[in-house]
Amino acid sequence: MQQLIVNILSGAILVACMGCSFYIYYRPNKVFNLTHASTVLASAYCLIYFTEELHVNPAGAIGIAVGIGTIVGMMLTRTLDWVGGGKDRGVYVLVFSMGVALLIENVFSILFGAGVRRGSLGDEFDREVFWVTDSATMSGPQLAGAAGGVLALGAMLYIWYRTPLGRSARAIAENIELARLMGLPVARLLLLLSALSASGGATVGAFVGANSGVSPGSGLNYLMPGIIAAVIGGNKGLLGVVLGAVVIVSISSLSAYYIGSKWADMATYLLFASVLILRPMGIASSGGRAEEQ
Amino acid sequence: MTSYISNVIVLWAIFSAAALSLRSFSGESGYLSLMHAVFFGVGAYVAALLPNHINVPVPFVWMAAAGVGGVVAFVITTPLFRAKADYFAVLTIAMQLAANTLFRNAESLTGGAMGVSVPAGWAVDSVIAGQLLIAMGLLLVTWVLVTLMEKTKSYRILVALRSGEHLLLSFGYNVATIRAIQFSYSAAITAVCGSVFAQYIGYIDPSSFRLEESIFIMTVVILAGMRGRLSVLLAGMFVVSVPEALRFIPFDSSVQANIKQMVYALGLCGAILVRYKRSAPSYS
Repeated sequence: MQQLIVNILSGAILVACMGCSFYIYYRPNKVFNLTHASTVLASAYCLIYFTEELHVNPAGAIGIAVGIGTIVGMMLTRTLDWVGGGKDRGVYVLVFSMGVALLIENVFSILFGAGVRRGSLGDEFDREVFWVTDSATMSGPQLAGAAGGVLALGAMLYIWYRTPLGRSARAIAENIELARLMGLPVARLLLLLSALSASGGATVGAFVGANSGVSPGSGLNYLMPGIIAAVIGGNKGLLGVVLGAVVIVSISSLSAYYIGSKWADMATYLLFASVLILRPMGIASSGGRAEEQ
Repeated sequence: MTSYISNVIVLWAIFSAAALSLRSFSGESGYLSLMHAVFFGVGAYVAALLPNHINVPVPFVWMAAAGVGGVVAFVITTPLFRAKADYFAVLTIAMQLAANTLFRNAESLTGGAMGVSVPAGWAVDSVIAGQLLIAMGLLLVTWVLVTLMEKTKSYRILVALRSGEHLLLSFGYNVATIRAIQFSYSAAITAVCGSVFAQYIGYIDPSSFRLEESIFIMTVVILAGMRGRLSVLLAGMFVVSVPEALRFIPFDSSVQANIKQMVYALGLCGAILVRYKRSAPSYS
């Protein structure tokens, strides 16, 4: 049971980080950005390339991977601004972002092959087993992922709730026209938020690349739990996303434990559908989701 | 060469029929489905499994596929239509991924990742002309069914929903159920396309019904523009034939599948930008 709890917490940290990074872009812009999956892949493959091919120091490789992933993520989100569509814009941006993600996925498949590849944080560190409690262990990459995820999550939460950037983001999310009329530099703020979102996704990608590894088609598999956490977390901001992540990973891990690991993903998707059907405003929400009215 | 061209035409007819059925719903409702490959797969597995239990003629298999596909679609999507269009699209992605998991892991039913062979129906023993006849017949029947469907009351309500949903709600129409009925009709036709596809290929496995196949069907619809029926056929020909043309370019065989996917992705993105490019001032 202790091992199960440790696995849930370490998984929830990365899913929460993924969900928060997705939410930071989604909330003010009100569009689903599936190119976030490509940000994760870009960062992961950078880590793999720098550690496996160039044998760069792991800490440096993580930094470079996060940096490059952030730049790639920002460039991809800028392409979403090209899409119009009037009142159906949300749907067309989603589809367009899916097309871009599919394109990037195949580029990575050509460059790195279709199989699963994993980066290294050092041979000894990768083999190291850390005892976090008297009966629960974490591997080196798992521990590094949890630590990195906590740092990234903490930074995003701090920025969202405690800084003028976060306040401005929440103002734009409420009413973008009013925010602009009040003098907020909306374009610049949206750019900063896309950078923050991309850096969160890149952080997840770097640690996922070192822990479980990635394949070209796995970007969406890592992004979907984050999206689900953001949606079922409700309109209570990033804290709701964190709660949603804990719920998702708990359900998934318990399903894997009691039913079998091959059904864990299905449990997550069924939970998503169930929450949207039974409580469409989200688990942590106190009222209706404004954009669904 | 003749059999190769015949193969391209058969696949074009099958996927164009599936795209026509999707367009009939998405074109007017604004709800895009990224899970139509699921119903394609449901129809394919009905075609694979039903003849092993009951000795029935091939048209009965198609009708059974339509029935199962329609019922599955209605059950799954009735609650999903409570969400707005972009949430619905994300939900369909989640349902597609969940269905993939089911196809891969329900080994006793679907054969798992190893797949299942489809009992020889009309495809294996028939000549090329027969194959073409059945594929074109499917396309023609789909065209007729879509045309008939567009004359129904529920379709007119679907069209009206686009511009006056609250008005229709106030008149007492169950909006989610109406959308689900129309979607089920589309899914039933897609399931028949899947069963025809399975009988033509002779073998199916879960890799034939992934998210990429849903994107492929939707690419045809978006390339065609959401309101054109004939343009769906033209778009289908483009989407099927361009990757086939790439075979004659000396790419490494290991990247041909990737190149094909990239063509679809570029076509999808290009179609959206051409048709829905942002003209109003952007905040960015």
